[in-house]
Amino acid sequence: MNKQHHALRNALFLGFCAVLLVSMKILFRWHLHIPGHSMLIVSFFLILARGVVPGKLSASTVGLWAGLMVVVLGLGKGGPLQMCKYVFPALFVDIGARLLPNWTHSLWTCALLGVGAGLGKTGANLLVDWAVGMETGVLFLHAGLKGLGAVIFSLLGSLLVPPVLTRLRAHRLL
Amino acid sequence: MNRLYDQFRPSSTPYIPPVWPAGLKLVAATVLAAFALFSRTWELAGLSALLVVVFILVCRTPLRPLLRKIWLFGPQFGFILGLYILRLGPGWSVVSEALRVSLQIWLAFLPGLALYHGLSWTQARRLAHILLPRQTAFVLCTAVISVPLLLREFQDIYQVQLLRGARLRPRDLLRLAGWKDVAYSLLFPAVVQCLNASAQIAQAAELRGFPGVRKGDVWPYE
Repeated sequence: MNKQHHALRNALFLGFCAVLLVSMKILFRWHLHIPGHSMLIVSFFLILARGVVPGKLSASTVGLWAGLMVVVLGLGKGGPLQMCKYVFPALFVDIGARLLPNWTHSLWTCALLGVGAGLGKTGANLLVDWAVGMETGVLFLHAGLKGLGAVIFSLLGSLLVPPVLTRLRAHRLL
Repeated sequence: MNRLYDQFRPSSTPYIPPVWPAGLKLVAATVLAAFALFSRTWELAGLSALLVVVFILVCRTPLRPLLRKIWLFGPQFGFILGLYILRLGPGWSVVSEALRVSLQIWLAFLPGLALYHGLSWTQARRLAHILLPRQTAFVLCTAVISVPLLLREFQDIYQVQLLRGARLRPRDLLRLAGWKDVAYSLLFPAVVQCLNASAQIAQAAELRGFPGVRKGDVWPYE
């Protein structure tokens, strides 16, 4: 009973993270015209989910659910491949969190996870551009420019996570 | 007396639209978007544009929200055209190539949008319960329902923290202190609210016999 209760509670928190990720992305659609600024929100929620819910694949779960919702709701450009833009960064976060033990305690490791998420997003961009058949040189230029923005913003987003986790730990909520 | 009662009696079996057209639409939208992405010649792109128009007409999507998204095409085309010219030099073939690529990306985006505006919440929820594992479907549907409430609570937290003097206005974000206040006085209480809500919902669902009996049942039962 207790174990199942915890599982359901954690799953609900991950669900909230996924839906908040998508809805925040819609609400804060700043018209900055800087590519990749939405990664601020994406990487924050992915890393937060991995930090709060213990589990090997919690960030990937959030990424998968958010991707499903985005595909069904028809947000963003890229059709079904849109899913990769959430799943790849999430996988990078999960793998990074496995490789860096005690990552929640340091700002630097969190920043590293953020850079990883940005790189994952760049990989997804490359995949979409390749799928539409862009010329190879243009493909790398396009995905590279967008990827640079994605890495910078996801680094910023990841830096917001450690203070929140520290407070949560101090209040014994983790 | 009886007639009066009959008049106001809630109908015992509420009308539930059949779920298979919604499922068919979901499959069609996915296939169309994938086809648009991989149609790499002008003929195939034209065919996919035609199919997307047919899909939008068949779904009877209201056209206004779709028309509102047309402007997305322009900036993207400009960006991709700029990159193409930078790389390959100006020329008609380059313009046509860039136009096709941005048309493809835009066409891949339309079917999902049409689906979103053509699907009712009841249908989407039943579809989720058929396609996904039971706990996942329950979690996603519950999250979608309760996130507007959570967002309203976040707004309240924001207002209260502003009154307390937290540096949360947009222009404060230009300095480091603003970001610190965002993390400590806005994000932390928001995450605590989320944890609290998920614990309460989990307990409430389990006390009402959450996992249910049959697969495919929509919990709480319709």
